[in-house]
Amino acid sequence: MTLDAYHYLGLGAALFSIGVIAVVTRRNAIGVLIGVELILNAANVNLVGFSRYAGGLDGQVFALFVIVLAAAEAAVALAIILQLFDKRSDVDVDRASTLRG
Amino acid sequence: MLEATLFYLFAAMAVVGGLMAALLPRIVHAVFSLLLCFLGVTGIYLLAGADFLAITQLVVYVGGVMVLLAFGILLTGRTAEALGEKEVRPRHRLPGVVLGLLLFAGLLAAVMASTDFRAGGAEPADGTIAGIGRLLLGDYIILFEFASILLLIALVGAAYLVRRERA
Repeated sequence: MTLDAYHYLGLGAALFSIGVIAVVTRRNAIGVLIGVELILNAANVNLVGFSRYAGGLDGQVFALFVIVLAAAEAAVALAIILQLFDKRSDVDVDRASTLRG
Repeated sequence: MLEATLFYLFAAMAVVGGLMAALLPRIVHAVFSLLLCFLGVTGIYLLAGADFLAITQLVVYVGGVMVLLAFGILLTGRTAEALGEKEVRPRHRLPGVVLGLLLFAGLLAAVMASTDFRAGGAEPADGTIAGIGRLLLGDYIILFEFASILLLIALVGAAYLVRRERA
């Protein structure tokens, strides 16, 4: 049994789907953030898989940029969550519905 | 074959950790099972010969994002318990999981049906740090600079967002 790019793509699809489950079912905003991190990791697994089987390092460079984006996004998202907690004393995304039309 | 065995081991770590992170009722448990997932992904990177990326994954995710999430829970804790409610509403869980499974099946079908990646198959690079350094400061120098600016903006923005307004 040899590995090919499909193994990496399958793992990426699984992690992405799990991340989507976390995003749509979690009520805690930090849980939603966990889901987003899973989704970004899924993208990275795909990029690394392509880099491995197509040759060249460009896929890994893009994965590095995704990691940078994920770190920046986590910091800003946590700042927003803390501000939400300050204003409403909970972090329930179901209740943060002030903008609902 | 050793490579395949290791791949399935690390993939199982990542998927099980991810599932626990998505479905465990307590948010603290979810964050710490995310650690298992990240370690599994790190193993996948090592297996694919992406050594620098594996190190970065460890440092940024396990050392940075995990600590950030843990701090977030510390600072916003006692909400779920105080509310006396479940972190995941039972009536939301089943549709969410069904949606995830459908998405997974659809993605797999799309990948298998419409692509042909079996061709090719380069050997994994032997040490990627020098090559990545050359690419980052050569072909991708503009992106590299933009990433630095983005990090600066995120740093300033996060500090600005969390400040308390003085009354």
